[in-house]
Amino acid sequence: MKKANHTLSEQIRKQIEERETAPSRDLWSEIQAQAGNSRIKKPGINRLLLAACLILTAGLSVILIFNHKTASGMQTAGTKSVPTVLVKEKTAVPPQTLTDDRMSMPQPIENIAIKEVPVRQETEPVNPVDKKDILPAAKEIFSAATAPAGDIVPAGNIAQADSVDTRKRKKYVDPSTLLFSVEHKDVIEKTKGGSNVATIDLNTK
Amino acid sequence: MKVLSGNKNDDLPRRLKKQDPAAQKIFYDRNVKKFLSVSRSYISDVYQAEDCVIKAFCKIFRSIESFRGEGSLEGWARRIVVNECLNFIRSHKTVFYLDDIHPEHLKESEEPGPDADFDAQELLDQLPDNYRMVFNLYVLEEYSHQEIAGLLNISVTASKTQLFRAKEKLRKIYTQQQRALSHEKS
Repeated sequence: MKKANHTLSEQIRKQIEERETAPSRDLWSEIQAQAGNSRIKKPGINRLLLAACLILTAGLSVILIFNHKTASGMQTAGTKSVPTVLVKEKTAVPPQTLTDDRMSMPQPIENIAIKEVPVRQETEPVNPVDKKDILPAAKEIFSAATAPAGDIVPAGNIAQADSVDTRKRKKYVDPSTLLFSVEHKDVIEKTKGGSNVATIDLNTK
Repeated sequence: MKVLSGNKNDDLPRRLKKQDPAAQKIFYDRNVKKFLSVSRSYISDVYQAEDCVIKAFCKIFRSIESFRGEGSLEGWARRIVVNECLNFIRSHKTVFYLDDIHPEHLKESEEPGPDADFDAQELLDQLPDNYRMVFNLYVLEEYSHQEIAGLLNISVTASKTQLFRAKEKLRKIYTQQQRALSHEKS
């Protein structure tokens, strides 16, 4: 319990309780300024947040749309170019003579055609006009892919051939093609140049 | 006249809750001197004490909705001023509560009260922050040691020790002042 006598602390308490101190500056204007600032700041922050959110969502949606478009564009380009080549090749190739170099390179393209053609048939019917348009480019790709290392190939063709190669590597591994030389050992003959040549009738197979 | 003023007093919290600027000005004019005196008893620097009062008034006007009308509005507002001062001391100064004296040794000397006039603020200004906070909370705000311990995040024993030391220090300062005064007179 506190002692209610006239000790020093009691005297101090009395003095402080009775005392009133006048401010040395205009505190009211500062209080008003601070209160006004806090009132103004709140909606300002909200507006800023709203604007930031809108910009962020707009930016994200633009990026998503752009990505979607580019992805779909790449997909259609792939389905358009590769299958036409292969269809053409398939129809145009009579029993032909393949050198060793060709045996390793073009066969995977043929197999891609077998895989890709149904997709194309589902999405769009084969258009003869398109074929004509795309055919030269496809031939270029084919020639670029089968060309020897020493040949000079245009840069655009290299890029297209690269994309075809990556598809090959990713999508297709056919063990039957790897075993071709083993299966058809009897057909392979040596030419004067020293290279191995196999004569096969693809239609009969 | 009395009835009218009574009605006005009752009306003030309601008007403050509506953020009425005129009511805020009335409340400020009524209490600013008292609150500044309270703030000065905790903070020796006048400018800093005024800053605390400004912050306290802003807080009062902002959180007036939480005033439930159980006690007096002035008492509720005064507590906000005190808390603002304590927060200021905590944030701007490092306060140590080092020594704990055993409660048995905390016996105050029964000295007679001061006869001569003295300046209480002058005495308080010479106290260290830790002593002053506990002394003010116990003597001026009439908080218990438990409440002080909770407010300052210290033990009850530490609160008692700080009060004991504060009183001793005040007595010492007071006697020194009195001696100096008597020397000057002689």
